[in-house]
Amino acid sequence: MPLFALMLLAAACGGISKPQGYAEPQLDGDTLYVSINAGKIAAVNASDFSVIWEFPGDDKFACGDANESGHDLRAIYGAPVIDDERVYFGAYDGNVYAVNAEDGSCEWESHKATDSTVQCQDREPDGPIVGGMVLLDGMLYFGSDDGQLYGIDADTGAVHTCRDVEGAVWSTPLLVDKTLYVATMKGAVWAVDASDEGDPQPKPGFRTFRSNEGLLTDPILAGDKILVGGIGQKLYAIDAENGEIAWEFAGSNWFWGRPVVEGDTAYATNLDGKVYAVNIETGAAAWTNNSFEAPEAIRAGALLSDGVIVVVDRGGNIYSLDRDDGAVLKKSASIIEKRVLANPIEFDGDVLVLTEKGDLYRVEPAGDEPPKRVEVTKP
Amino acid sequence: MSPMTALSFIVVLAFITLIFVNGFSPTFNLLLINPLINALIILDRVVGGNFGLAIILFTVLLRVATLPLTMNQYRSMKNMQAAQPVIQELQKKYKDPRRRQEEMTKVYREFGINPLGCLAPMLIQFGVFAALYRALAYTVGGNPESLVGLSQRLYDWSFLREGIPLDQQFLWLDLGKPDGTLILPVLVFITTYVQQKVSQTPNPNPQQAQQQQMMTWMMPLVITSFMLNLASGVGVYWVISNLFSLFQSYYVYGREFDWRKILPITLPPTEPGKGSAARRRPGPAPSTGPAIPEGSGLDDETNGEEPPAAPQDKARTPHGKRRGKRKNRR
Repeated sequence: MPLFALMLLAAACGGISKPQGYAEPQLDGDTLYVSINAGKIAAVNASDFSVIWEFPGDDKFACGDANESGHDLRAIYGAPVIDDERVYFGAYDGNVYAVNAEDGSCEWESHKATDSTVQCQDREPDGPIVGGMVLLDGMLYFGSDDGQLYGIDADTGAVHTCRDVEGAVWSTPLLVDKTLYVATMKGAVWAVDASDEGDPQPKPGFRTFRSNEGLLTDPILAGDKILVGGIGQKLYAIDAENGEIAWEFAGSNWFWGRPVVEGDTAYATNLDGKVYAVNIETGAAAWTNNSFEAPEAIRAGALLSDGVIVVVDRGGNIYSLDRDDGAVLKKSASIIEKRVLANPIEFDGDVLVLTEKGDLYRVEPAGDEPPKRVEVTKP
Repeated sequence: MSPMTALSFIVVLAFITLIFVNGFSPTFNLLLINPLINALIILDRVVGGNFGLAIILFTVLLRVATLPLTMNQYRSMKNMQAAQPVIQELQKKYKDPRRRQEEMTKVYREFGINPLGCLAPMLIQFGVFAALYRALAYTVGGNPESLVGLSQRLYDWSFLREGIPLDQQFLWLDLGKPDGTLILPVLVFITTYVQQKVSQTPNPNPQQAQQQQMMTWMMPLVITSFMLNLASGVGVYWVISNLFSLFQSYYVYGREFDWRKILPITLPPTEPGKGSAARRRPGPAPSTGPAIPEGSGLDDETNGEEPPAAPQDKARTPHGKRRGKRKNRR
């Protein structure tokens, strides 16, 4: 019995982690939209870091004309999308929410369309929403864990279009002109024409790219290629027109952070703790003799700021790297001492880092100052 | 000490040494959690991407692999039961604890009892239980953060990576979350209770019998209360493991169940030859485990109702060969 108790204690010490979310903060004018509590999003005044509102304020709330009901958004992973009136985001509870940008009241929650003229009637997301969204012509497009690419009316929240992409989507679709590139956890990259509200058709001439392992990074455009990587430990360059693979670059663990492109080089973080610089034309490594390796996995994407590459590993170590050779210019090791999975963002010449627990840190990309914690004040 | 017991002690000793050298968490990860995670994913791929089936297959394979250890445990338990009357005599006879212990050691040797014989299977059972709990947190943790952790534990083999992310759904269960329907916790309770009841051997000591009786209830209750908050995958492991134990008891060791005794209520006795206790499993006695002599007091069915036979008679079956050799040597 004591042995049994000990074993259970050992097991209980580690518990199954609850989803926390790693939504990339978004700066819109003088307001920062950031998830400082799991499953909530806050509008923060960027000048004094006072919270303007936080949604949801309570477990029970009403969206639009609907009755008040209990909600648990659980976590927010995708970056919020902001327009003039609303803040849109997908939550881990499988719903998309539109919140009034001024006061944080819920304007709508995604729902089935009752209009028989829409392409995707009586359907709504049936799985967590992990990736972000893109806004095009009054429609919000996003992928869900249920293997569908959805288009919902940004004014009402009604689902208008859906398309089976045969695999969960954990990344933000890439919008190029009116084509959506969607990467799935089944290893495929789809190109879908989103030019009208009809049945989203595959882009003519684009043959769906398929790899054997899940794709995690947000697809990005690099010249005429789409860059995407994932569990297969490879970064792929796919021709944006026809879906043919141009090259692949191997890391030693999964690619998850969104790559960033500067000139003819893409910088991609990897869960092996390294940053890879890859020539986007050839797929060859741009840095030679680079020995940088963070002590922890790097989930967050790299950020180009003030001419340097800034990366943050899961352990909260912040590094500034020379973009030409990857040499470490600045290291703020173990100062944050918190888990970081969210992409860092540029903020008034500095870099803003959001930890898993919702703390914000501000760091100069190239200066000598150590990271400073930002005190977010609540009303 | 049998070679199997010696081996299990070496394994446990090596584990403890590694803990001291390496720290608890890295050792636990290196030796248990990481291999378990990768084994589960391999099985998931083998069974076509059904993680629930992978857990079941894993449980069965583990139980088959540890069969020699559990067989030793069962034998030791049986012999211990056979030695009970002698032990009680000794307890009455010798008041000096040291002398009593010496005599007890002799009896243990005579009956082929290893008091620590049950330790290795228990260690494995609970070690796997704890490791499985942690492994499930990474494999079907149910959120993207757990995948970041999984990436650091997965062996560098594309066959494994192709199975990620794992399907969390199995029957009505989300394997990464506690079962909200409470069906699984109920199954855990029932199977643990029945397994406890079936593996119980009658204890002539009233105090110990009372403790045993209490444990029959306490153990399932404790396990079930934990299961209410644990990932369903752990519950699946536990239920299948219990079912395997029942199967093992019945088919491997030839135990016969009196289902009336498993029920927590007292039912009127059935006529001789009609009750399940009276039914005998058709076919020859299994060769893998020792047969239980009629009326030996080792059958669950007797449960202390029949007087125990002489210890020599009872001990003969499990250790007959060895004792015979000893006689020849003499």
